Amino acid sequence: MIKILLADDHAVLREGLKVAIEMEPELEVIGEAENGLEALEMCCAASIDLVIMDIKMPVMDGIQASKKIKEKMPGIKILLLTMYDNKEFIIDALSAGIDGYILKMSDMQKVYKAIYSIISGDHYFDVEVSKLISEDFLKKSSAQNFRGIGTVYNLTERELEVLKLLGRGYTSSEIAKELQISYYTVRNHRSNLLTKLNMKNSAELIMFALREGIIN
Amino acid sequence: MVEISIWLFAAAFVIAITIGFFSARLYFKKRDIQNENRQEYRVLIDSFEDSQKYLSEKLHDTVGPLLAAAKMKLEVVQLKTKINEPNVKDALQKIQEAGTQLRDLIQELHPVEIETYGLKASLNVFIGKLRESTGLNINFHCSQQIKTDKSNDILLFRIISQAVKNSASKTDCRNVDLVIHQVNGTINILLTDDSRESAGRYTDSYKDKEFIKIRKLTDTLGGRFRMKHTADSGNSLQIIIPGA
Repeated sequence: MIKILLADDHAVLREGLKVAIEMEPELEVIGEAENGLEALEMCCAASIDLVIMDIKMPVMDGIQASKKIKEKMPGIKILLLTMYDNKEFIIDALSAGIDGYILKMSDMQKVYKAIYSIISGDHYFDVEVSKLISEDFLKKSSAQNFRGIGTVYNLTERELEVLKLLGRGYTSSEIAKELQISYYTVRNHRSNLLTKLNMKNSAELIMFALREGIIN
Repeated sequence: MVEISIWLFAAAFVIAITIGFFSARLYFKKRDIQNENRQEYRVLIDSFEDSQKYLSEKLHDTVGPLLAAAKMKLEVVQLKTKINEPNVKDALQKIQEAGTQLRDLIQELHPVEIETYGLKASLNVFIGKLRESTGLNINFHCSQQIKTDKSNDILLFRIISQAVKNSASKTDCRNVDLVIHQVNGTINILLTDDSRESAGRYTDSYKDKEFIKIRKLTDTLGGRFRMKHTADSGNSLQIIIPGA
């Protein structure tokens, strides 16, 4: 059973989301918070697998709360569910260490997919969000830069390809399909990337890729 | 004869001094009235922006969650009944569309990122959306992070966004360049386009409300603006705002 905490200042939305989430037999909503601070306190008090959090909340916003939760309890996964698809929010959210970012009007199937991907150790971004991240990559892109980063950080061509697709919001299984390699090989490349770059999670990898403008 | 000349000279001197005195009084009076008007206009603009922000937040906090919750519950019904009813699908799609429209409206009423991330970020979002909706190639260069008085950010945003919108709607251009830089606090905004129209439709629209809006807002911030049309090289609009 995946234990979920809902953090949103709108009761009507929490209620709708709770009903929709509990349609899936493996998911259980074990608590609701009205703001970021409440979510943080509940995370400290109960055993929670995943927090679904809004960005704009009173007392403490979703990004600040995510940062604090990740600092204190890095094992708790965080999925931001928000109305905003603006680059600044996304970059801030990524630097807070969140595991996924989807928009509030997304289909529930997408929400389920996001939850399962995140719980299995992947990250998940809405298509619109991934598009924004990719556009940012494209702006800074150059094949030379792509190869240069590989040399500086001792990354193989394959690892760079995996990193590029991670940045585009692909899950491990989607990367496997795209590169025609096995799921476990992708996990292996991802783990090598984390070790070589001395990073803890996919969000940090994406931040790195954003910073370095990796794409060809 | 000499005596008359002296008297005439004295009279002329007194008249000149009196005219000078009253002219100076008129000048200072005019300046005070202009400042007063500017302040009154600023109060009006600020209260207008406050109500725009209030509406934007209200929509975000009321209609937004209601729409999202309605969509989720409808999806639950669809999942529970396992009926692939086209009307339900259609209703879901319409709610989705309403959500997108609402998000755009909220953004138009008041750019959500302006308080947290500032003017440059808000302009980036605005330009991204305008590029998408018009297909225009808009290049935005901002030499550094613009440092402004926070309370002026929204006015600067309105000035610049209106200027870019004017290029999109009042010319036949395909490319627009927007350059913003700041030297010693003064913000210099230069907007150029590659319109090939021979008649200056752009400069002729000087009295249109869209330009009056830019003029009034620029004046409120103590700035000035200049527009120019050149047959072969398109239009340019320069706005200078000191110490914003």
